[in-house]
Amino acid sequence: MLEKKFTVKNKHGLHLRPATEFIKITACFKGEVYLAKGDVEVNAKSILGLLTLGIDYEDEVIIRCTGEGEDDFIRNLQEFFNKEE
Amino acid sequence: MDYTSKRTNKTLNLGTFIKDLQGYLQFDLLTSLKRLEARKIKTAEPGQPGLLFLGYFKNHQPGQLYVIDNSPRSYYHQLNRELKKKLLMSVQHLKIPVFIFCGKKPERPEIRLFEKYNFPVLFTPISRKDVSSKIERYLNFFFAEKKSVHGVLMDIFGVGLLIRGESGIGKSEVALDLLDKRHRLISDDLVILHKQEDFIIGYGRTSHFSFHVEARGVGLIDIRNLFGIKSIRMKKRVEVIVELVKGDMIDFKTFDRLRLEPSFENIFNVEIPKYTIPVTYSKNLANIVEVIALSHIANIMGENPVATINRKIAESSGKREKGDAFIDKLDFIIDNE
Repeated sequence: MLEKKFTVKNKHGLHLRPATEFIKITACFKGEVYLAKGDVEVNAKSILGLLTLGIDYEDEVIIRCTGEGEDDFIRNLQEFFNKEE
Repeated sequence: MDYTSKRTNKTLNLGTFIKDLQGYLQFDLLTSLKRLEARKIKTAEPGQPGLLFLGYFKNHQPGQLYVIDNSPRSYYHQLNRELKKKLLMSVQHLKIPVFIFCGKKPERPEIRLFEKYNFPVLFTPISRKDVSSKIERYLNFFFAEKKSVHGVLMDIFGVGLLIRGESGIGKSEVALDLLDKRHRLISDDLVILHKQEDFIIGYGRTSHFSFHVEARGVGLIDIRNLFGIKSIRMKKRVEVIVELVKGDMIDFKTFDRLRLEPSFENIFNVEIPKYTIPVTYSKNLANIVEVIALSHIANIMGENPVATINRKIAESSGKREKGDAFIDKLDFIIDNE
């Protein structure tokens, strides 16, 4: 299981549009992905779960994943979280 | 799934504690809270003030609060000033988060020493029995083991049923079908499970997205708005787990078709009956889920089809000869027709 911490650089946080973009990335990943903020962890392939976390600008989130191509997947996510808009 | 949640090392600020319980317990603050609001409550179990006043505090747990009713109080009251001083000085290092007096309101001089040694003191006019149970319930909830899981929690004929399965298998669609059949939704996608005594309570996270369902191709659906207030519920005891599994993922050679040995899932040491349902396109899952809820109710009422049939077989085996004779007779009749 790979674990990595990200900081959200998007000025508006993960609102609806970036959230759908995020789901597109995680849904393509063949394996299990979890996303945690604080002490709540959700399945990162579920858009409602992601939205209920209410992730904001500069929030720290933790991704835990296991499956094929973890490294590429983490790289894609890094790119996603680094986007400012 | 792993339910061994991180054992809560949570702490509760005295300020929050007072604010949350103020409504019911009508706290009266008897000492100044200056700098003491940040005192931490660390355990759900209130301590025994009698032993503490006797000077025995070996079993005191850090961050334990004390509820003081008439008997420990009258004991403390009859001590002379020197003894009181000595006593409070000896427990000062324990940093007790708060003393809660109930019953008769203490006079000012009575608690002056408490203030001197930095012990916050509260008074509540509610009786000891009610104060203890309220505080215990509140603290038990706060310090309970919690874990969030991915699934849909619904109330079906009064049975709390958690539907699980990998994303895209159709949990939300089943939920919509069930809502159409007038069952109630507690939460979609993110369900928080929390242990209360010997059962598990499930609820959703309060946010803008409470009582929303996301269905592929439809988008976000506001259930409260579309189906009305009757179709939602805040929390529910989780009684049954239904696991949806892709039909081709199940090995039917080992699959227990008759549920001869019921399977359970252990959540925080509570055994919850679990049904594994293979998903194929021709299935009406909502109906199956409804039937699971009904058979769970029947089970609770003591009906178990497997046990009943076993019993009937056992009973009839005693009358086997009679039956065989009847069958022979039947053969005879048929042969002669």
